[in-house]
Amino acid sequence: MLDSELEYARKMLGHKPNSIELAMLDVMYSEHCSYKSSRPYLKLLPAKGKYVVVGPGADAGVVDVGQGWGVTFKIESHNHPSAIEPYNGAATGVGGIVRDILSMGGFPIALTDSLHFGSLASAHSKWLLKNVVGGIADYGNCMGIPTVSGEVKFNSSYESNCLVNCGCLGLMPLSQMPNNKPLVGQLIVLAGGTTGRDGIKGVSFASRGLTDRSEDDRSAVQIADPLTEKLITDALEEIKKQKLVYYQKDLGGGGLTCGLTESLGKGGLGAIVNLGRVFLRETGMPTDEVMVSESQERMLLFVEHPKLPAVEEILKKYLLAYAVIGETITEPVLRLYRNNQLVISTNPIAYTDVPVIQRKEAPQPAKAQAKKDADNDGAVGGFGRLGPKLLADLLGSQNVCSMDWIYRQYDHEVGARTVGKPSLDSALLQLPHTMLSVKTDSNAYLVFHEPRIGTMHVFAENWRNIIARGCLPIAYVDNLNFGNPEREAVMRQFGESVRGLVEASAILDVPCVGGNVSFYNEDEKTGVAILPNPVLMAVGIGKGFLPKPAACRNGDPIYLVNGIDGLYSAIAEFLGKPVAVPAIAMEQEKATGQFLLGQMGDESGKCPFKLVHDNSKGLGISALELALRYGFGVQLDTEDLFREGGYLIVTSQEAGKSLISSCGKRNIPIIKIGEIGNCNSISANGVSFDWAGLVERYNILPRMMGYG
Amino acid sequence: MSSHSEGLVGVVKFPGSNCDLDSVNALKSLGLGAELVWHTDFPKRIGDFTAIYIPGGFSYGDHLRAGVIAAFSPSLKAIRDFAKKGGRVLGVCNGFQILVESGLLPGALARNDTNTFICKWVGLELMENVSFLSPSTLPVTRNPKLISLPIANGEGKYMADEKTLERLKENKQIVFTYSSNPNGSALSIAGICNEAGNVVGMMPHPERAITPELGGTDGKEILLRAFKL
Repeated sequence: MLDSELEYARKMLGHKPNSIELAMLDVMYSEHCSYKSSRPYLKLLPAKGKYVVVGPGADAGVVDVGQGWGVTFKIESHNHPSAIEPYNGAATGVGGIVRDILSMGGFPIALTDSLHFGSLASAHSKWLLKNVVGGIADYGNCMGIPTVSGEVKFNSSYESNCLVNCGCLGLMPLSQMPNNKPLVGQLIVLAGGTTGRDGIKGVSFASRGLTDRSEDDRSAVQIADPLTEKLITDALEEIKKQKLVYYQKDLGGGGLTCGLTESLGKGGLGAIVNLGRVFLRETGMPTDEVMVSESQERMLLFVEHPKLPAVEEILKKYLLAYAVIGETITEPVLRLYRNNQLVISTNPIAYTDVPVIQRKEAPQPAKAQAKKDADNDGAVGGFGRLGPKLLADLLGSQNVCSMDWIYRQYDHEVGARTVGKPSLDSALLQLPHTMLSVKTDSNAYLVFHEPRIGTMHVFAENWRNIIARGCLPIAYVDNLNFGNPEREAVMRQFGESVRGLVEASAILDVPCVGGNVSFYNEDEKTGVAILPNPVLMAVGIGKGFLPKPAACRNGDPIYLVNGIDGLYSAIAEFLGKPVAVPAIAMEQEKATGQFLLGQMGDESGKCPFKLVHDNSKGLGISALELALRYGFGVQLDTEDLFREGGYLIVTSQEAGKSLISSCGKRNIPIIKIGEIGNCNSISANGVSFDWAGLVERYNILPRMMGYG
Repeated sequence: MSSHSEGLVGVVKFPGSNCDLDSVNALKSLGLGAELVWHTDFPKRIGDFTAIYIPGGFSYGDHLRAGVIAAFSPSLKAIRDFAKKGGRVLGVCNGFQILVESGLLPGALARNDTNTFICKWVGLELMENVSFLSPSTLPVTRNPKLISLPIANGEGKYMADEKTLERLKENKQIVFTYSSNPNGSALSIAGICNEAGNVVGMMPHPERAITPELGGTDGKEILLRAFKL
C-alpha cells in the first residue's frame, strides 16, 4: 500500500488500522482486487446494448439470449499461481471463474481458456503446459463442464510469466437470477470448502512481479477440490429453483475480507460475524489469516431466517460443510468476533472504495524505426511474396500446429450441447431455443507492435470467429494481461489497447459486460514484460452454421472474402521479424459479417456455403487447416499466401458466381484463391506437398511433448 | 407415481455424477420414462423402476479410485438385488466403473495407456453377445456391425486376468470392442455384460450420440434397445 492509501484508509476507518485491518487492507488495495490503475480506463468501454442485463462490475456479466434465458460469462487470469504451481494454479483458475458464474445464478455449461507459454523448445514451458492442461482437464472434467474453446500460444516473452486465463459461461432462466445485494437482517452462511493456509494473500502475490524468490510463495497458491465445487453447483441449482437464497457471493481473491466487505458495501450494510464459526482446515490460524485466506470452493449465502432450514437440508444432502457465521445489520460496520471477543469493528467501505491511481502513460513511442524496419521487410523480405515452401514449416510450428492433443484431454462434450467442437473457429453450443457461439482469442504479436490497432484486429478476429459459426456476436468480456503499470511504457500499451477496444466495440456494437485486468506480468529481475495481451471472449447467438465437408466436391472454389491488405502476424512471428500493423476498416468488417450471416441464415433458400473459416493465420495455412481437418485436397493458386484477415469460404461453382456478384454489389472484396482437389493432393502455386508429411507436421505437438 | 406401462428408468445420481442430466434428457427425448434419483433415496424407490441406468461422471471425485466409493453406497446393494432378480442395469463410463468396483461385472478399469484423459469419437464393433444389446436385438445393419460413439475418460482401460478374459469370450459377455484400441484395453474391450446378460457396462457414451448435430445417432438405438419395454 502507498502512504497516501494508508492515510485514506485511516480516514475512512476513523482510526489507525490494527494488524488485522492492515492485512485486510493490503489484499483489498492490491491491483488485482481494486483495479486502482485500470478503473479510469475500463469505464470508457461501451457497456450498454439491447442484450445486456448485467454489465461490468458484477461477478460476471449477464446477457439476455431470448425466451427468458440468460447467459452469464466472465474470464479471469490465474497467471501468477500457474507460473509457480501450474497444476493447482490452473485448476483453481477454473474453480474461481466457475464460482463467479455460480454467484450470478448461472449453471456452468462451458469453459474456455487462453494459455500462453514461453517457447515450446524449453523444458520449463513443456512442464508448465503439461501441468496447466492437466489442472484444467482434471477440474473441468470432474465438474462436468465441457472445455469448448480457447487458444494455446507460445512466445519467449512468457517464459517466466505464463498466462492462464480461464473463462466460463453459465445458463439460467433470468427469473431465477439472485438479487444483486443483501438486505438487513439476513443470515450469512459460509458453505463449501474449509478455510486453510493455502492462498494466503494470493491477490497481493498476483499484484507484483515474479522474482526468483517467488517459488517461496507457494503458500500463496490455492489447492483445488473440484468435487466440492460440483456439489456446490448442484446444491445451488436446487436452492435457486426454490429461491431460498437472497444474495450470494463467491469467495475468491481476497477471501472472506473481499466477500464480506463487497457484499456489505453494495448493500450499504454492516454485519456481525463470529469468526469462531468458520470451519478451519488447521488449528492455530490467527484472525488475519482467516480473513485473507483464499482457500477454494467457498460461497457466502445471504439467507432470510425462515428459509435457513430448507437451505441447511440441501447443503446436508450434498455433503457440504457450512456454518451460519453472522447476520447483516443496519449500521454500516463490520464487527468481527472470535472467542466471544470483539476483534475489530471496521468500516466495509474503507476496503471497497479504493482511490484510483492516475498512472502516467509514456508519450507516443519512437516507433518510426520499428515501422521502417517492418516496411523494409515488407518491401525486401516481402511477406506478401514469400513462396509456398515456407507453408509446411509454418504449419508445423508451435503457434500454428494442431492443438488436438490438448483439447482431447478436456471432456468437451459433456452436457450434450457441443455441436461445434473445438478445432477451427469458435465453439457452437445448442441452447434450448438458439445456438450460442463462444470464442476466446488474442494476438499479442500485433498488439505489441501497435497496441491500439492491434487490439482492434483482435476484436475483429473474435467477431469473425463467431460469424463463421453462423452467430451474431452480442457481447464480450476481456482479460487484459500487461506488464508493470508503474512503468509508463506499459501504461501506454494498456491505454492504447483499451482505446482500441472502445473503438472496435462501438462500431461493431458488441458491448463489454465484464472482465479482468492482470498487471505485473514481468520478470522483476530483468524488468522484461510480456507481450501485452488483451484476451477477448465473445459470445454470439443465432441459427448457427456447421461445416459441410461431405458436400465438398473436386473443383469447388475457395474464396477469400474481405482479406486485409498487409496483415501478416503469424508468418512474421514465426520468422521473428517485426510487423507493420495495417489499419482495419471496422465498418467493412461489420458489413461483411452481417452479409455472411444473412446468407447463412437465409430463410427461403439453402445456405450456399459449404465451409466458412476465419483466416487468422494466413490464407495458405487456413486452407491447409480445412484440407487436413476434413481430409480433402486443395490446389491453391494465389499471390500473397500468408495474408491474414477475412474468411475462407467454399461453395459450389454455381453458388460461387452469385457470391461474387453479391459481394461486388456491396463492395466486399472477394478473390478466388484455389479449389478443392483430389483427396491427399495439396499444392500451392504449383508446388506440391506430401500429404503424409503435412499431417505429421500438423500433429507435431504430442511428439514435442514427449507423448507418442 | 409415473405409469409403469411405458416403463420407468431410474437414473441414479451420486455426489459427483455429471452425465445425469444428459442421460435423463436423452432417454426422455426418445420417449422413454426416466427419473433422476439421489443415491440415498434410491433403495426405497427401486420398486418403482423397470430398469436402472448408472450415468457417467466423477462419483465422489474419483477419490481413491474411479467408482470405488459409490460401490459401497446403499443404493448399490439395492441395485445388486434388482440385478439378481433379472432387472436390467446399464452403467455408462463412471457407471461401468461402479459396476466393476461393486463386483456386478468382472475385471477392472485402469488409467489409460496414454496417461491422459481421452475425449473423442471412436469406432466400435458390436459383438455377438448374450446381453440385451446383442446384434440380434440391435438393428445394426451395417457389416461389420460398426457403430460410432464418443468416449470421455481417464480410466477406461479394461483389464482382467487371463481366466476372466477367456470366460468373457466363451460366454459371449463382450458387448463392444474398439475398432482401434485407444487406451490399451484388454481384447480392445469397450463394454461387457454379466453372465446372465442383464447387466451391461460400457465406457462410450450413448447419451451423447442421439442427434446428428451432436456428431451421430448410434446412441439412440442402444438406449431404446436397453430400455424400451
